[in-house]
Amino acid sequence: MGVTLKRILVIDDAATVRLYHRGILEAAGFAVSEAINGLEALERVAEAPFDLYVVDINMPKLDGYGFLRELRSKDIPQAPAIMVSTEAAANDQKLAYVSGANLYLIKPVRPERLLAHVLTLLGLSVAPRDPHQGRHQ
Amino acid sequence: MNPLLLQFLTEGREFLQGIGEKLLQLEDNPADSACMDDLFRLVHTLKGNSGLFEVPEMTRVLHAAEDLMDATRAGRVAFSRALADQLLEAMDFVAVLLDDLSAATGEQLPSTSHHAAEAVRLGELLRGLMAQAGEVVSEQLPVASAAPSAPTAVADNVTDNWQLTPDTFIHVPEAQRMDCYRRLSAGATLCWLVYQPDEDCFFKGEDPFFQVIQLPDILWQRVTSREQWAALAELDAYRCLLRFELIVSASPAALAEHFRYVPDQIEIVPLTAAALLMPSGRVHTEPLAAEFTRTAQALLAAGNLTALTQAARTLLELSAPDLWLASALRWLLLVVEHTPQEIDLQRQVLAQIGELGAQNPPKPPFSKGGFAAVNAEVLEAAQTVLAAQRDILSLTDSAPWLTGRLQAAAASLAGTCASLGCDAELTALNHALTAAISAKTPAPLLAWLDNSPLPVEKGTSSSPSFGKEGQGGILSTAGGLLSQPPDLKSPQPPFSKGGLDAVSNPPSPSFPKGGLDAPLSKAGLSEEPAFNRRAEDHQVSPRTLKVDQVKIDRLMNLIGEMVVAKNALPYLAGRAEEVFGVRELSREIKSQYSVINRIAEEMQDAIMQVRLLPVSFIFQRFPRLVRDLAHKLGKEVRLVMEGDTTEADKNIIEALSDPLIHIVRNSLDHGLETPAVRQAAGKPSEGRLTIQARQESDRVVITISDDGRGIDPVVIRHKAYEKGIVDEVELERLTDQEAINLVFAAGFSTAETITDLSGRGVGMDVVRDAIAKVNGTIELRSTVGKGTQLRLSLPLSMAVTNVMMIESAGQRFGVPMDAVAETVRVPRRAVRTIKRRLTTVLRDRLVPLVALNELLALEVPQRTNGDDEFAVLVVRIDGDYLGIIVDECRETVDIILKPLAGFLGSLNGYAGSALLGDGSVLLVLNPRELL
Repeated sequence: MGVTLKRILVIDDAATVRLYHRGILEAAGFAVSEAINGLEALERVAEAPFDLYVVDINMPKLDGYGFLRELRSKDIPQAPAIMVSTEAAANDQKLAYVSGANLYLIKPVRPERLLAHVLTLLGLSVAPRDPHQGRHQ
Repeated sequence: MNPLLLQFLTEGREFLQGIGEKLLQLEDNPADSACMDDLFRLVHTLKGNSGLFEVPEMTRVLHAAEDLMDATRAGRVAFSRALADQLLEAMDFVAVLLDDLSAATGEQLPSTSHHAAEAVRLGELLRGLMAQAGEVVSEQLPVASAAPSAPTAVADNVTDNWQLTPDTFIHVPEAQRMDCYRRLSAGATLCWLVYQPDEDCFFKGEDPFFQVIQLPDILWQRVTSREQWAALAELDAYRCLLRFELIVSASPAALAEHFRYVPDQIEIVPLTAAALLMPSGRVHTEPLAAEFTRTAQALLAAGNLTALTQAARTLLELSAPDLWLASALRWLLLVVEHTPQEIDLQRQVLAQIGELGAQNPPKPPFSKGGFAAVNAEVLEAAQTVLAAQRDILSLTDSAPWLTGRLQAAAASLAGTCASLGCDAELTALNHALTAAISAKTPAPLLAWLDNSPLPVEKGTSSSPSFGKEGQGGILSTAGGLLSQPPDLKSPQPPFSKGGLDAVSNPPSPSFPKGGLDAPLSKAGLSEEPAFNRRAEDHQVSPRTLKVDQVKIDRLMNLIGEMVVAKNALPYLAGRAEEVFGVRELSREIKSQYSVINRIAEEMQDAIMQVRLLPVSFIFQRFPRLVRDLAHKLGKEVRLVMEGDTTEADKNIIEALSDPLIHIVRNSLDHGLETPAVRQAAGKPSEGRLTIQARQESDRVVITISDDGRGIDPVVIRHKAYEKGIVDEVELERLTDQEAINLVFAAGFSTAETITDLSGRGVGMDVVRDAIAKVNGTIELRSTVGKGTQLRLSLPLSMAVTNVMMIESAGQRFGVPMDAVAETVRVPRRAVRTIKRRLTTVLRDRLVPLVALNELLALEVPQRTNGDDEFAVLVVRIDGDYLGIIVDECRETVDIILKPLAGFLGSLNGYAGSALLGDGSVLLVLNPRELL
């Protein structure tokens, strides 16, 4: 089997936020691509789907909700999406879920927190392969 | 500087620029909703970015600005000039903060706390605008957001209590904090309350002390002064400057109710147990600490809390009670006793103690961004993810993209399963997904989730396979793999002052580079070890590249040096032939020289292109400048800017900046009249200021024209005579145009009264000099009553100067070619003396002559050639021709002109010096100043 890195697409119109997320994710060994809005993100997805998406909400041209609806309408392998917002509004969270997000985190996401969720969603966090589980299987 | 901070600063300035532009656009057209949306987004994004750093002052102001813009966008607040003024002021404040931050050296973010008062003031002003419009002002305090409406706790609580840093509790004694910790773990609701009564509160019939005393269940309190107390004689006892800090056992809602008349004067933050956990005391390196930590971590991993307690007690007995270590141990015991389920917290304290053995003083564990921290959050993350998927699967809408949503949820669940090691459930999950998709309902997936052993919606410890023991197991496995000592060489994360609390940790934008690489590649991606990135992964908007100016300047200098260095090759070739007699080598050197020469010229050309900047670089500040000045002066001015894409060398553009601002100021201050005066003169009340840029052959021409009152030559003559700039004879002779040009004379200022805008002692002579310094010229035309026009003409580039070499008294000098009109031979007999000045007639035109040796005070007569002819270099200065007699005119040469520095810097007769190919220095004359 070919050796590839898990690919993550970071979608945010703020370069600072992209750099922040990229820094965290690349340090953890992921291949990170960036898109500055929903439209550009869709172009990237058209080239090849990703293993995970980190999506901002408020972006020009096509916002995060719009991007997710488009993404989830595509006939491609669907990967988890983390929506990152600055507002802790319950309404926004519901809209995010309806649009197709799998997680709703509030900015700024601490590096440890982001990584913990990314690793979990990708099935990469350390598995508790302790004796109990072993016997269970 | 930290790259993230650098990016933030660069982008932040762009945002501010954009915000300023949008605001001005909106002023012209308040109904432009697209513009309004853009504006909101810019403010919103900037606020979001600022949250990555600990700059509460900036976040506070931007938060208020964002709320205001949101209200404006929704039509709840009307866009007005006052609103724009306020926002612009707020953005100026943010710009100041950005400048402060950019002064950061090293990894520590400079403190901006001295701006706190200003931030509060601006924040209140912005919120005040909303309040005036009847908007319900919800201060960012979590009184409202901490209510049960908060979403299912996926949020990082950081935003809610960003003001809670460990420093907050520095004055609360440990015993009190421990007491609070016990109460919190027992389920009590505690709040941190800061009450800063209004300065005039006594006059409003408020009684702050009474208010505070009336509070039930005060656990701790402190009263301080907001300012240094004044000397007793000057003390105003009726000015209330108190600041109350309290820890109260009450809900935020109850406190808000208690202080309902002064909501703007209080801050309420619900306390978390973790926030209180802060060992304090005398720091002393403790070798035992490391040993203890290892033992304790092992015990903790094994879930043996009894033994852990025993070990901690033993060490505590050995330590002096005022030591930091003792305090940390007391905390550890407290955490173990009262919140045995808080493994995270226990690990934190332990990690801190461990560091005590390694270094001094201890750093808070999270500032390391170590992977242990990630590890500590994985279980929590898994629960969060599962809860979110449950919410998603419980949605009842039938969106067209339901299938995709189901697949994504299933993918998320599969990932979580794999993370938790429940791979056995995956087959069932797949079946459930298939069923769900074909039935177009999430029900099968939901059923699978409910029947799975995953710890979803079942609290933290009640899941069968994730009981206390199980948790310990997970963490111990994880810990064994992952909590290896973080790579100490890895950069310390920049800005976290260090939060102790895992949950409400202030954002610590640490770049976990390096520190995380090793452990993760081992543990997380064990089957994918190679790092062969694909090309497309890095293709992100590659259209433009931002480069630090310093780098370009460096490249420029290097290329300059190379141009000079390559000029040595022809000399070398000459020496090879003449001194060593190897003609073959000489020819080879020459042919190689031509190649290097061509490349060097292309490089020079290329770097010149890079250095070109559009004049918009300086134009962009004019809308704001004109607007503010006009407001201040009570004038109405329409600014028209044209050709702002015209490009010129960066140095030229930079040199233009201050003169242009001065000219614009002058225009607004002295040129354009007030609306009343204009109307009386039959002009439209709105004045017009036009700034135009265009390229004319190899020069950039900028014209600044207004339709103001113009410059009256009569007034100028009068003034000039008064100030002794011209005498009576000259006064008679001056044409109107010449009179107007007197404004460029040193020490001339026409302003009747010195206003605070232009008359700062800087006259138009300074403007002219600044323009002349970059080889530019300035022309002034004015018609009384119609307006004034200034025309600046500047070279496109000043990097390379073409000079003519001349010889005089056995020395070589350079003269810039753009001043040279022609070179001629003048026979000695054609030189006449008219009015004690040397002159000659050149093509029926009288040209004054000067001998260079005389100008330079060299006591040598000029030489003539064999036919007794003088070599004359005719230069053109401000349209007049003048001949300079030299000994010999030589070839022209391209040089990099370096201005004279140091003591020589004041020698105005020289434009600068340059290095020639043979290593000698050429002094370049400045004809304008010389004469």
